[in-house]
Amino acid sequence: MISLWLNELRKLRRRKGLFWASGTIVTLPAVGFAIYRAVKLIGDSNSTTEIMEGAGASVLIGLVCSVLAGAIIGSWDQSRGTARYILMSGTTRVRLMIAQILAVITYSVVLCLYGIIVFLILSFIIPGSSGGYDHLGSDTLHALVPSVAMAVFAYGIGLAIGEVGVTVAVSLITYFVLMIAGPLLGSWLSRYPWIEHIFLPDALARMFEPGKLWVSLAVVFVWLGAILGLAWNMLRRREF
Amino acid sequence: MSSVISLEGVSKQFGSTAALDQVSLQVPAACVYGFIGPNGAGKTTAIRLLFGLLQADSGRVEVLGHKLPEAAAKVTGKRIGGIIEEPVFYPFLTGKQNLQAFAAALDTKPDLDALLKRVGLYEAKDRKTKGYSLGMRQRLGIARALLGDPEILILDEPTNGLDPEGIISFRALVRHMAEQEGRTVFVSSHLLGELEQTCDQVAIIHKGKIVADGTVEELTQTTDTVRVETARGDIDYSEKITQCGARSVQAKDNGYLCMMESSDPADLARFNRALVEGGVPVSGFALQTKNLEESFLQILQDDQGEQPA
Repeated sequence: MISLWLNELRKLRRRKGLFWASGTIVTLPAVGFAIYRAVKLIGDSNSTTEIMEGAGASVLIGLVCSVLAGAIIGSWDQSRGTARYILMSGTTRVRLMIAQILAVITYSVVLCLYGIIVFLILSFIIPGSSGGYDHLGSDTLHALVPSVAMAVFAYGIGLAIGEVGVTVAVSLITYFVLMIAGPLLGSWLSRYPWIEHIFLPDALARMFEPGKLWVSLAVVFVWLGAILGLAWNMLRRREF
Repeated sequence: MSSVISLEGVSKQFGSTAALDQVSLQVPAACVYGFIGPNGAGKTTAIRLLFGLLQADSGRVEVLGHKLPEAAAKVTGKRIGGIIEEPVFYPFLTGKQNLQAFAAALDTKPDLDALLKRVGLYEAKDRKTKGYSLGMRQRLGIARALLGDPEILILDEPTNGLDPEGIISFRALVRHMAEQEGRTVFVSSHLLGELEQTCDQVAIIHKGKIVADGTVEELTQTTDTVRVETARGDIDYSEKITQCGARSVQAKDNGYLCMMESSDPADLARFNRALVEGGVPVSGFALQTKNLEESFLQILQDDQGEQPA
């Protein structure tokens, strides 16, 4: 299991295009933030910039990169025929799926942490005072949880669909449609105010609001469980 | 000889198409077994069943005594290796990295350099496989199949894309694996001349059914035609030959092709004696042999003839 998991990570690492592109585009917002902060300092040398103000862009990009990684791990082997050879090596489908989910989570966590670390480094390098370090931990979790959840979501869809491009499109479109659909439904069905909270994007966004953690976690687990359950059912029946 | 691969009454349907129809096959240990059939005959479907990648609709599939697909994880990889259809790899990895990736799935650490040397790819091991030719990918596919040092090697069209030198070295490799290492090699191919030189036994599949199987000798010598050459080419002996017991006679290339009722050696000896005693100056007498390709075409024609219109 561990060798399978590490193998999936090695394969992602050796996709040089994906590796460097992810690294670069997660770094870019930090560079933009550093320039913004430097310009702000020129205007007012006493200005304070909250570190996570700019990290939001990096987090969004990290989420997209995580979706891409989830889609690749979930669907590439099926679309290119290498899944057949992995199964011919005696690996069971369930072992393969667990190892791939672990790889998706690891990749997503590393990518998000990398983005945040770049921001932190730049905040120390660029002169002037910064703020926001006191809630850095919760801000990091704010960034991490949606990325990891969406990476797993995309992985499940990838496993079911088996095409990388289609998986990325379906995952992102589903996410944004659900993000819009929740509040819309909530306003239409105002007698049922809870209805907008059963959508994945809403649960991810409200997870760290006071008193919402457990309900939101339950909603996220139901969504991911449903997607992974569907994907497993299709993988189990698929003939390679 | 015990069977290491056994299919009994196996059927598999894709939609309304019967890919395999009551297929039964026994492959003995430590031999090279050829699996021949035209495109769409059901070869690849049968091979996918042997790896547990498909579930048969009915019948029993057993490899090394394990029922498939239930016991697929126990036998595939370390006990059976192979190539199915095209040998596909991760194009962004080198040849050696690809082997590493599949070895990780196998949970084993074989000597990759030795394997790459064995298939003649050592020099290209650090090149990405997206730059490999089909022949190189076939060789790398064989190396991948050998990662777990399996007892059975199942190769689907392994000589596709190989150059003549590659085909010769492949043939030597396959014979070596069966004769020196005691592995069973199950090869499907449409290169019948190649199979004739490589295999001990063959089975012919047509429209999802096994229409013939046996040793290569059995399938290539089951002819009932005798070639008779005479010392006097200027005289027509057709009538005399017919009187001596030939079913029909056809003059061809300074001799006669005689269709016999039987190819039994005793009957042929009797026919030869009758010719000599009947005054035919026999200077050559030989049972015509068919090569595997001719036998294959004949068997397919016979099978077509038996199909209801």
